Amino acid sequence: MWHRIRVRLSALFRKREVEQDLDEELRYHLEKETERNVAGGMSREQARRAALRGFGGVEQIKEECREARGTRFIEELGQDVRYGLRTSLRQPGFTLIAVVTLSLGIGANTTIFSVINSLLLKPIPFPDADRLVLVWETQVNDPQSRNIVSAPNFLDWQRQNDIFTSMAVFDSAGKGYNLSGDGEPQRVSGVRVSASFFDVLGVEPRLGRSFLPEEETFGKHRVVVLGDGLWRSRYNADPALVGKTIKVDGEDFTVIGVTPPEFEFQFWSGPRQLWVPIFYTKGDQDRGSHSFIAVARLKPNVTTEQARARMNTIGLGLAQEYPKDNVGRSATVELIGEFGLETQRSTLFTLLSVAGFVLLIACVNVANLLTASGAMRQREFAIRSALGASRARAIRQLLTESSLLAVAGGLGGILVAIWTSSLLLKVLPDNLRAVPFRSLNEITIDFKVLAFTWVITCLTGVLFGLAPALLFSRRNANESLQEGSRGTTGGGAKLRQALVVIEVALALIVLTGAGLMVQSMMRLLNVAPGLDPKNVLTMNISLPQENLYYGPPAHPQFARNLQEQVGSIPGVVSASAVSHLPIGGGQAGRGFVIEGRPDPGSDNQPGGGYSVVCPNYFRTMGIKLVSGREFTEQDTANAPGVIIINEAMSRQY
Amino acid sequence: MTRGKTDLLAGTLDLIVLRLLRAGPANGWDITQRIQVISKEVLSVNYGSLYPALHRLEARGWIVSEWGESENNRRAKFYRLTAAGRKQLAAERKAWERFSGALEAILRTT
Repeated sequence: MWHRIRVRLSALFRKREVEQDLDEELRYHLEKETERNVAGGMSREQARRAALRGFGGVEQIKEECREARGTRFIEELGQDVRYGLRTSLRQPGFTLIAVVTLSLGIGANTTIFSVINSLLLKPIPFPDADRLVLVWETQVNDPQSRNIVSAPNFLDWQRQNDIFTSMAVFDSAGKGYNLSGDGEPQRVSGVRVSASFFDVLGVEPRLGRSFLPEEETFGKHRVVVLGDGLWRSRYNADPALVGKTIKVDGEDFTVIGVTPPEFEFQFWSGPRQLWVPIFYTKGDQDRGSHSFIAVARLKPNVTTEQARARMNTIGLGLAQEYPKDNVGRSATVELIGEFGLETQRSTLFTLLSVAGFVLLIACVNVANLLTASGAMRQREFAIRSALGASRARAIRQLLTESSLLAVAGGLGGILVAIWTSSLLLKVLPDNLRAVPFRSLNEITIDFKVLAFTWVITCLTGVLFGLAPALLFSRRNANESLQEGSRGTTGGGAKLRQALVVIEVALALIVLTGAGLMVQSMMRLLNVAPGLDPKNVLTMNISLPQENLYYGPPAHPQFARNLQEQVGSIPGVVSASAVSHLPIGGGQAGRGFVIEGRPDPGSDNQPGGGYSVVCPNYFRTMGIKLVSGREFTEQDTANAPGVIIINEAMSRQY
Repeated sequence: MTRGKTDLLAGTLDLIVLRLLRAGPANGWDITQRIQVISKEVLSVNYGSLYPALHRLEARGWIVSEWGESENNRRAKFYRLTAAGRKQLAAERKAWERFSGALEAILRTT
């Protein structure tokens, strides 16, 4: 094998030497033959001619020897590439249009693929992530459902666990924490986690330690682990920070660790930069209050299926033990890498197929351009074939030319992708930007993306090169020469018609898809939201929750002050506050019982989403009340409770 | 061709070249002469096919070439059988024996 490669390489790169060798070898043979003829009685001149005659054609033999060495293909390829470059440079306008068209097509595909690659194809950044599972509550009559777990249920799971090496839990909602005391106050997104959290994920802090089990108890809970990014930006990467005290939501917390730089944690909302140990509040201790996400590491020889079966048994057991809160519930597991990718997958692959169509259109366009430059090329190939070029040879040459264009387009496409992916990063909606445990902070063009680009570039080259290749090589030499001289393109016209038909069809598909999307967008925009968003400004604010756990609620007073102060700003007509903004602001939900009707029990109560609002809310948002009155300053915690319901609810009940 | 000479059967030239080189390194001219002498002038080799065959065998790694001195100090290219070439020779020889045996059997019976 090695030997063969060496022979070919030397034939390629030491071409002159190899040729000289061949010359000398054949000359030696000729001389010997001549000598023999002279010895046989011929004159020197006669002998030489006879020897040459015996050889047939020296050049022909040489050619066959070259071919026998197996390098002719590569040599011809070199010729084709050089010729193709010259042809392209002779028609700069055409070449530019073709390359730009292909660059855009290939660039679009590369961009979408780089997003898919960065978001979906990268492994979850935890060691042995294929042993990590999320543990969910589920409904017996809907095994596909995934519910977050209540703390008591999780603690029971943990007690009965015999399939996981360890289990951990974190608050599904996360929370903003105020850092103050040292420099400018800063709001940081953080999350409560069980002490085992970092151990289960297999993450070692870069500095300090992770949480201890006893830190889950109230009083010992004032310790915090900081994210690498926060440690760098706020504390200048101070290695002595561990052990020091910082103010978190106004209380003194001890920094015990800093996560490694590659550790990134985010689930349903943005990345977290701060971790505090869980201690279960009164609300958490309600078995019916589901607010945690459980993660666990499988024991070495336990399969996901076994774990799923075991958790189902445990879940059904708990349903029997606590029918009030757990009736109809069970539990299940899911590999960490398989959860929560559906939206991203379907959206991104739809985008990729649209980009694919765009590339197809680009191909057809360029193919059309190539065949349109027909008459001239046709005559060229007619002459070639008259001189003895085979059809396969002609097709190869044309495909080489189209591949050159494609490669230029591929390089351009990578440039386009580098530019558009940074653009895309800015406009990508949040739900496409992040999947559990990974977020799209940057779109990298790595070797996988380059390989993808390379493959589509090659396909592209063949795809748009095939039509002209077949067209130009097909013609009978004689006919073409005559036709060419008359300047007509005969059969080419048919092919080009076909290309146009394909192109229009493809464009129609993409346009229809785009049109449908625009239409549903228009419908969405035309839906009357029931409020008047004109001249309404919103801002978000979160308050420290310390008082929610162990003090009198301070929120109403704060909201009232805020409302008053904002309302007194010149130009502000009215101001209010709401717990959840309508449309996309999320909402809380709870069950209710209607006065005068029997209570069907907590599991069968009707439920509804609700928002807590301040006085003036409806006026500020431009929401018209159908009947009744708005909340007023008199509707305080001490006054009789009041609610406002919507029309749908009043109709239903 | 003329004088009762027979053209080589397609595919047999490789076998012949490999077999002749088993005796030791030789150049192209030597090989043509030996074929004629050993076959008692029955087989004649067309030079036009010998040299491409040598280059092909070399490209496949069955023989290697090196420049050496022939008689009266002239530079000539000598070909030598490699280990892979030896194996190939054995295989081709076996294939040829099977073929010629079968052909003979047919010629005798019918």
